[in-house]
Amino acid sequence: MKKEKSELTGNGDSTVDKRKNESFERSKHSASNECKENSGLKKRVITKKDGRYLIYYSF
Amino acid sequence: MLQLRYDPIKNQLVAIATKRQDRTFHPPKDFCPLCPTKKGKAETEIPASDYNVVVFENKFPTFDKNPEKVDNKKINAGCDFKYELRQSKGICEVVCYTSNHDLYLEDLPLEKINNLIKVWKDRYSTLGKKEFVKYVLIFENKGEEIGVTLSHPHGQVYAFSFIPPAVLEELKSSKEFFKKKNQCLHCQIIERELKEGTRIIIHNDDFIAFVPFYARWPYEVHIYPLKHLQSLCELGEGEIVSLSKIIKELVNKYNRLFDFRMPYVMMIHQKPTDNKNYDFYHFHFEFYPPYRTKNKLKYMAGCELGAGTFLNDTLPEEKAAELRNC
Repeated sequence: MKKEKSELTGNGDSTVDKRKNESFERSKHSASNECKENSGLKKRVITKKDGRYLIYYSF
Repeated sequence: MLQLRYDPIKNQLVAIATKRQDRTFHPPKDFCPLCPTKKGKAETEIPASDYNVVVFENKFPTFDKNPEKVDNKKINAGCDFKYELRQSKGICEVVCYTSNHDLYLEDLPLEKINNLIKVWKDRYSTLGKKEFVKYVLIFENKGEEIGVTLSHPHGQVYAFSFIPPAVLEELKSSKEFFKKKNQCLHCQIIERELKEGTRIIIHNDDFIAFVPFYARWPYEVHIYPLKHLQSLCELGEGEIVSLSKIIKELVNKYNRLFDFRMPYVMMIHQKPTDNKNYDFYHFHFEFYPPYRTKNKLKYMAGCELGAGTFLNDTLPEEKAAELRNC
């Protein structure tokens, strides 16, 4: 897990009130903060002659 | 030379990227660096005879993946007032939407746009996991009027080592609203737009596209998920299809409006990737087309640049009706 950092930000709120109004609560039921898997996504990474990476995506 | 210079008056960082002056400028179609490499021809950026979607590091980046240490002592030697340099750490990527030079985003079949959205999700997730990356900005500049130098359909991804100021402002107001009202500011705006309807362009099961009440550009449009989501990462398969449909429909409406391909800046504003809590935020797309009539551009000029206040010569409700009906 990446550590929190606050360079030039200070806007993240780890103590945000979890209470939500009705519409917010309703919508959050179906929301997830986790990244959903991309079905069928394939990656092939190569390194170019100058050292930059290049990624071929296929589906 | 890649540097971040701190402006102590505006409290902002400025990215100095002198190498970008040398970037490829309107090459002929036969020498497009984003096309696949043709047999017997010079190698382009993509050493393959065809591709689906390709992502690579920008040859002319704004930020440096491995920046040298900055020496603030050296630049301030003998000076009482100190300027500040910061490491210009970051990653700049190019996303080629298709190997076909003449197919724009809106021309692609839905399935291909779905795939592009999956690539955006992957770049947000992959880059956002890096320790130094605080913000991942996915955007597309389209059209010469915007300053685009390569016409091959492509977008860009910038992995920032800081949260850029335009996003900071949105986060600040979203957080303050949430603290006061216990509601998402963006959800409230969506509810109001749905209730009034006058500024809506397109509305499907999962997304809404509207000209904001406070539009700065005549044909500015924001696309929001109806669900309270903070990033593309949270989209399921069905929602990706809905998003593809609304993007394709919107950009085709732009093209029909004046009967030419509308240039625009498109950006995706998502939550930062610094692992803090941004439950109060709501991800969305913003489109900024520069035209105010078929043959007149809107410019950023004195009031916008000098005062930070946008002048919009049009009524958002009227412009929304034009877009909705074309």
